[in-house]
Amino acid sequence: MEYILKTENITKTYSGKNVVDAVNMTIRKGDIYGFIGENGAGKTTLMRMVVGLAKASKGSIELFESNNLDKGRQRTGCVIENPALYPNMTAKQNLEAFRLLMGIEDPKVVDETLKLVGLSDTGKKKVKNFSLGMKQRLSIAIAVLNKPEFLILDEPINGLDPTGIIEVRDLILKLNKENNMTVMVSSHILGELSKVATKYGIIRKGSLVEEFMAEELEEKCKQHIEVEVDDVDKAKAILENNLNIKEFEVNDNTIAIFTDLQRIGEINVTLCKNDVVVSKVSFAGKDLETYFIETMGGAR
Amino acid sequence: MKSLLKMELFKWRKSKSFVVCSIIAVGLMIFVIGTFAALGAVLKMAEEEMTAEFEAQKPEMIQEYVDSGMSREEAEMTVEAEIADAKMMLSVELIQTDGQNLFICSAYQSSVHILIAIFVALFTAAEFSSGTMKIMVASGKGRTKIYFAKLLVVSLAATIMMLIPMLIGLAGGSAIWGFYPESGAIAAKTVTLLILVQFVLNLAITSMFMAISVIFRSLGAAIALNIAIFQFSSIIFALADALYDYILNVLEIEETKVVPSSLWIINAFMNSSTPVNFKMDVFTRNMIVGVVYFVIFTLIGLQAFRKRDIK
Repeated sequence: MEYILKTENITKTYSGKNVVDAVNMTIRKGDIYGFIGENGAGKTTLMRMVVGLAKASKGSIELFESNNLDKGRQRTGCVIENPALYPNMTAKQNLEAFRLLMGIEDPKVVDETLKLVGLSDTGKKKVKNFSLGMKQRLSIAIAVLNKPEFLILDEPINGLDPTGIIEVRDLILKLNKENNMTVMVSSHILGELSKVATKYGIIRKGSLVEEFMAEELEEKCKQHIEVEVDDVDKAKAILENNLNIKEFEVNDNTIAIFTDLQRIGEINVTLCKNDVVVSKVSFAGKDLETYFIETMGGAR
Repeated sequence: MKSLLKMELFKWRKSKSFVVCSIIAVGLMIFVIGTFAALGAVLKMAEEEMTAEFEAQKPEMIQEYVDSGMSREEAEMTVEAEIADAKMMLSVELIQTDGQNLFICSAYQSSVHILIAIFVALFTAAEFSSGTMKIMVASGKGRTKIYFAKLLVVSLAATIMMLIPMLIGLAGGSAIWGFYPESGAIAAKTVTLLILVQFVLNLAITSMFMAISVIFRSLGAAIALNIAIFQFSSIIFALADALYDYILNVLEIEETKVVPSSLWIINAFMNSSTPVNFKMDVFTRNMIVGVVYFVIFTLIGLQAFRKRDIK
């Protein structure tokens, strides 16, 4: 199977305004797709259209290379916006209700899933008395209950403490690696997203402005050593001849070195020994957050 | 569909609101029977007292009429008639009932239907408030199946809530007044037809409550509207009747048997709860009213559910 999700010119209009505007998106099997955008950019609306909560005004969606979206949705799990739970039931009862909905025969899957998300000891506590973090975990449990092939998570780490964030991250990676689950996840915490995503999509005012693989991001935001020197030509010669470093870029008095990052100390000492004045040496490079801000056209 | 029904039945089993509403229905019916029985006892005592008083005053009353020029025979007949009239005002027969009567008449009780209105709103609109409807719709089961599974289960629940006062009325009424000493035996066929039409009308009312809950989605609004429409729609149809009469008068058309209010489910239900003067044409009309409204409200609710986005 080539792709799990494919949208073609998908558009959603509310009161004459396109909140999702002709988005063409492809998510391949095995991807962890990081979906990034400002508040109100259209992320949740697009996810809602994919899972059937909203009807597209224009365009098409294919799930698992098929137009039969109901069948595709049966192989999909999701957490969209706020946790959706029965407040007067316990965690186990909530999972039991959805186990019945999904037609899962084996009742043991409820306890297994509770254990997976760390909610096995909630006992008779009703969901209305859960913290936000617990509710979020339970929502994720419901989403993965039937071991879906495609998981859609809309800001799954909202309300989680640092331990919970790590657990969700590890869970996503585990499900992707062990079950080959394809994941589409949106988050505002870009640092976290950059630790899991293999592909990114940036949406702005309803339009998908850019899509790129994680490797491409790494290339765009490449970590490097920045060295500011008084004599660039001399420094270049030293790098090439003395240190055998060939991959670098020059910008005014600054040399950006893209390889041998671990030799930063050696580079500094060698330049100084050869009478090159080094006024600044440091690691540099954009992270996902910086790249996102630049793409959005804003400033910090 | 099977998995949807299993889920809905599971939620119904866990639903405290159904238990609470049912307990209230039981309590209300017991209160009704108790009130009838207490009133009956009070009226019986009053009747006995009054009879004794009249017996004591009877000669005096007869003499008054004789003194005024009436013959003794006429005077005795007049006094007997006056005593009989007075007794009727306090007669225990006014509130006399029996198990059979209570069984049939208890199907329509506004208090029970208000409880059904509340339960349907809690079972349906709350899914939107809590967000769980999102998961159901996103499961890929299809919105039509989701709607029908829920409608089936709320209809079952509403039927049971309607049956509760009927069975309590049957048991309690039979224990206190006997099965049918007052109303006499009503033909089994009549009883069956009355129960059948009440069942259909109850389903129609339930489908209306569910459609309202799905359209408005907010729990508070659904409860308020369900109750308001149930309670006040008959007033609107009464006004429609008045307007209809006026139009007939203006157009100099004879009065018709069927008036606007007789085509409304609430009124049809009220009319189906009295076994006296059972008529086949009224039964047929009420059945058609029930079926038609059930279909209409189901289609309205289904359309609203299928077309609108789920927030």
